[in-house]
Amino acid sequence: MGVAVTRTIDYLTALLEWVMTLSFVALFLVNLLNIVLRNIAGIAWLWIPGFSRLVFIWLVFLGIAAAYRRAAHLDIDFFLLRMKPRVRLLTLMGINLVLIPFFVILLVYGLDVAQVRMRVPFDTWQVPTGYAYLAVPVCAVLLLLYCGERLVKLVKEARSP
Amino acid sequence: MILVLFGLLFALIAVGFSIWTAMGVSGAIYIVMQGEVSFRLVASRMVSGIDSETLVAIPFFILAGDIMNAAGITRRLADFADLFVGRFRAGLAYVSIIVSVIMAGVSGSAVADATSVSSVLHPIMRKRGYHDRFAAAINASSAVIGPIFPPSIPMIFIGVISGLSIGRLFLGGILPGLLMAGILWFVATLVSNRRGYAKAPVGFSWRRFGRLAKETLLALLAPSFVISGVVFGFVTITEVAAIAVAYVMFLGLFVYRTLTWSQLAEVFRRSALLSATLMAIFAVVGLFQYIVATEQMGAQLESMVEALNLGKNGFLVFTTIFFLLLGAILDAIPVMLIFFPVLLPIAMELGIDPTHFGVITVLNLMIGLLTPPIGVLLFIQTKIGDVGFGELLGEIWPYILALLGVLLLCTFVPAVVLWIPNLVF
Repeated sequence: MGVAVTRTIDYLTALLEWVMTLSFVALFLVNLLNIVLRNIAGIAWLWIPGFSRLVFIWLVFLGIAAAYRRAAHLDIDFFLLRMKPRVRLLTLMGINLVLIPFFVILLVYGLDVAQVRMRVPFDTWQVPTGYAYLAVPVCAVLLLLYCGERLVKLVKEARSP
Repeated sequence: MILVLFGLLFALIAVGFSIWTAMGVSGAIYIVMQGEVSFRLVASRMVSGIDSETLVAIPFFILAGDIMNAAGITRRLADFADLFVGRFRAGLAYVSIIVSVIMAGVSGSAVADATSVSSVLHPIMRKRGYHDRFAAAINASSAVIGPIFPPSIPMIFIGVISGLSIGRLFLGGILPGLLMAGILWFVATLVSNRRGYAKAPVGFSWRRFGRLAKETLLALLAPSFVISGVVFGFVTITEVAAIAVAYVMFLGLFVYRTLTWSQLAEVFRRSALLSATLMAIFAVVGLFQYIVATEQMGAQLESMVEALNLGKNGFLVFTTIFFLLLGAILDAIPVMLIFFPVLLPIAMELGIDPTHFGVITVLNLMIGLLTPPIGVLLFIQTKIGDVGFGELLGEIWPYILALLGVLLLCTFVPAVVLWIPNLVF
């Protein structure tokens, strides 16, 4: 994989993590504001729970993609670490090849579900819940990109003497 | 079919799939084999699995713990505890236990607590002449208190998934958490005395006490906010977590001035990433629960329990062994999320209090974090403490046995778990 492509993916991931960080800050501030308004000013903003759910769902799905790039997801590498290097490389390739159809399912059917959910608003906020469900196909696109990048790296590694 | 599903799940995890993808892929394969359900279920269940206001508390608790560490609050707490107990032979082991209990009162995650407490204490323990394996063993074992003493991330998961009161679960963890601290204290004393570790020349002086008390008193208040929020119920669990974050952030930024804005941004990023890895599992568990319900696994287990005529105590023994075995070979969170809702109705039918069953399930699976081959806390300690896995295993078994003793006590004497929740609610 070319240096330019890797660098572009690096920038994209950095941007993704910034969006996550800002979403997390927004989630925290909104919840704090909710406590202050309710307990001190006696005001309850009804949109806050829906907004919280929307931001949280996006935060999680963007985080799933970012953690995949960083190989930070919880796994059990007990057997993987005990394999011979060549076998380990082939196993990792196999794992990523199996993941591609799974991520495609998330993309295609995630879009489908998001479309359906565009008709259903949040309980106390007149915004379609479909916007929350859109996080699944967006996450799937990122996962496919990262999976492709990982596979290319593994193939290169396998070819090198 | 359900056996094929679980067989596939174990195989994928063993091969090296991350836990959430192993669950997702095996769930998708089940859908193909079953042929009656659409793949839409995968996407919709993943979102509905995490679509809960209560779950928002989890990233907040993780964030609070991480801020405490980044702001040097963990270090201050360790210094303060050292002033009182540092002069004893097992002094720093006691410090590890005390700090773990206090950190447990804010963060609620064993992995986060193990990393923060060990990275502060392990180098000091090494300097004072403790063996690396001893430091690693006590730091790993005391981290198990994290998800037992309130707040507890696994208990939030259990509460959300089964509808149990999270407040009652939290309070149910107080006495078991303190008992665990007590028994670990006892084992560390025995080991230290037998090995004759040197007593550190840490003298108590009122001047030093005054300085450290001034520095740590405000930090010590953080867990009390969390517990009082749960007890008095004037805010939700998520809001308790947000208040804890705001408080430790305020301490770090404006009182101690040890936290910079750029550090804070990095802590937010790191905590968001860690939270996503936990929530990913929670998301795919929704799919698994659907399958478990469709396959009527609960009914099958119930008839098996009836056929075996286990009774209340027999069932408790069965679930204890079942969770200990699964906790040893699988990650605690998916085991808890898949099997707890299936076993809970059977437990309730046998007259077991749901809060009691919830707390002992968490306690059981958290001990699994210390057992081979998969013990996550062992792997963390081998990295931080530069200790061999086998060496650590040889050192940690008395602590595991002691914690199993607490588990058995909590399992067969429900009052240990239920006394405080029944007193409050």
